[in-house]
Amino acid sequence: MFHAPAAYLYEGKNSTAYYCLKDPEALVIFVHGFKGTSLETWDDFSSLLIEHPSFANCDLFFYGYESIKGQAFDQGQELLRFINNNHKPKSPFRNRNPKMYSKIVIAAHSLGAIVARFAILGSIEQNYDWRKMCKLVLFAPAHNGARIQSLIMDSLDGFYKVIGGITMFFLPIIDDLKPDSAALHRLRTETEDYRGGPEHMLLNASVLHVFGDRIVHNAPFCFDVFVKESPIRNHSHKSICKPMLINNYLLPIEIIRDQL
Amino acid sequence: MSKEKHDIKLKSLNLNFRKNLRADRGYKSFLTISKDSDRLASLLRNHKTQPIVTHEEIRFRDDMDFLLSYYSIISCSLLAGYISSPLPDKTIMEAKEVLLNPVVKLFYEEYYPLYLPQVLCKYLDAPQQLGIAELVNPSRKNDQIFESLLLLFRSRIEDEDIDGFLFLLDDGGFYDSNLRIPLDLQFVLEIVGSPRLLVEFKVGSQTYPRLDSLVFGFSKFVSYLSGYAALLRRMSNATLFRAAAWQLESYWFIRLHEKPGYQLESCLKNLLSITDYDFFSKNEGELLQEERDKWQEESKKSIQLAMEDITYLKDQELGWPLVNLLSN
Repeated sequence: MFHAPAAYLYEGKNSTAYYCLKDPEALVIFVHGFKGTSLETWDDFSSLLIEHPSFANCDLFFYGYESIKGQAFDQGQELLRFINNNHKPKSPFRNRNPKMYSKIVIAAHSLGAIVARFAILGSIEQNYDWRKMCKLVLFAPAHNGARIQSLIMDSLDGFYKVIGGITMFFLPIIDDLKPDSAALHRLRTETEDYRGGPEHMLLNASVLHVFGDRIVHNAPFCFDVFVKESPIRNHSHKSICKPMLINNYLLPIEIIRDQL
Repeated sequence: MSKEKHDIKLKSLNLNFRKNLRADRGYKSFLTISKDSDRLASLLRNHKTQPIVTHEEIRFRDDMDFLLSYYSIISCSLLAGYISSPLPDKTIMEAKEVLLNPVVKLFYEEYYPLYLPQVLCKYLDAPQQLGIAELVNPSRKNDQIFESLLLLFRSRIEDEDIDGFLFLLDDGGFYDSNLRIPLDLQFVLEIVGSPRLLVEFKVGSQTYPRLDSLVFGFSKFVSYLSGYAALLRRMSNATLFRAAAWQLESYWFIRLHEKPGYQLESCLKNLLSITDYDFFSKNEGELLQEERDKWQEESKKSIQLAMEDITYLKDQELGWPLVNLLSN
């Protein structure tokens, strides 16, 4: 048993922590996308990581937020607050906690990539020290915009599909996801401002995207780096971030492990 | 199961459900209020005899619900084989203090029957008599299902949209000062079931935030029921565990047999026809015909599956093994 059972965090929505029982060296924070949830978006990720020896010294936080409310920038601010409140180890299951994590990996999917980047940009603005330990890993990021109709039709599961298909076109966050939106323009220009400077490595995310993604537009973003397996085939916008033992799809785990 | 692992599990249940703000507040309020048994009896009265109106009453009852939920979860975790005897002395002492209080007992035995706290009471009194250890099969698989159940349950109790919608299911209502009309269950379900009204009230646009919240609450609650049904089906080989899991939300499953439940199911049937309505021509025209057809087909299927899941959850026989355990 490397990790304690799920501990419910009270920031965000249904945010959940799996604290390792040994002294933690790193923290991995997962940030879901549009209409995702803290854990379901990532499917077997949590159950696989808590039994994976490479993550035995890793605290794992699955951050959740109400993605249909607010704007991407607002969600970024809230994520920033969450990271700032939790950037030091403080597990109630350990008798003692070290002073800091040596690494903080932020893994984000789709809209979550925009939210995470806004949070990191905010951390630079606030001059938070912990940002120097951060690394971004993005799965099918939406930072070049999305096909809105497909986003709503395909991202909604089960019963959400019914009402969501009718009511979600009016949401402010949908405007943020349009390719020519003010939010995405701001994200790009603010990131570009740091090209080649001291914050360059913080903002150059490792990206895995899907060949022929039906929802987000695939293209380079600023100085992000595609992982060597990218673009990946035989996956969808939703399945790309879901590792599965059954079909031996463990690449998402390997990408994060390589950042530790 | 090693003692270390057992202690960690107990600690996680305590952190997640007992240290929860409202359960903790419920206990502290109970300690103060229980010194005056008449006042306690008034606050924990049956709402059918006299409606619950004041903010103080609503808050205290909500907090006590969270505290009783914690004891229900302890009971459920024993029946799932997730934890076992002995429970920590502090847990036993506090549970007895609350659950054996005559007013609280009336609340969860007669006014709003909850079998899980009753099982816990009996267990605390004489653990061997219930014979739980002989009846449960602890396993890693059941642990995973139980943890999934808790995560799902937690997602429901902490969701404001679902909370608002359940208030309607409980014959509650809101007054919307923008719309200047009362929002009750009938009104909300009428809107959900009508394309014309959904567009007229601009649902989703935050023009009327309370209405949006209730419509989304409806959608989330139906999805929640489907998730719950899926988990119960995974427990088909552990009937006592499944009975305990069913009893955890039995209040709402039984409510589905009453008028609100019929209204909900009627709305779902109306939604089958709503999926034929062409909303998409009113939005930017990226959507291909095949995508519209796919949405319609998948939406119809989702509604039908939701209706099947609700029928499954309404089956009170799922909870009987627990009732039988109590009566033995």
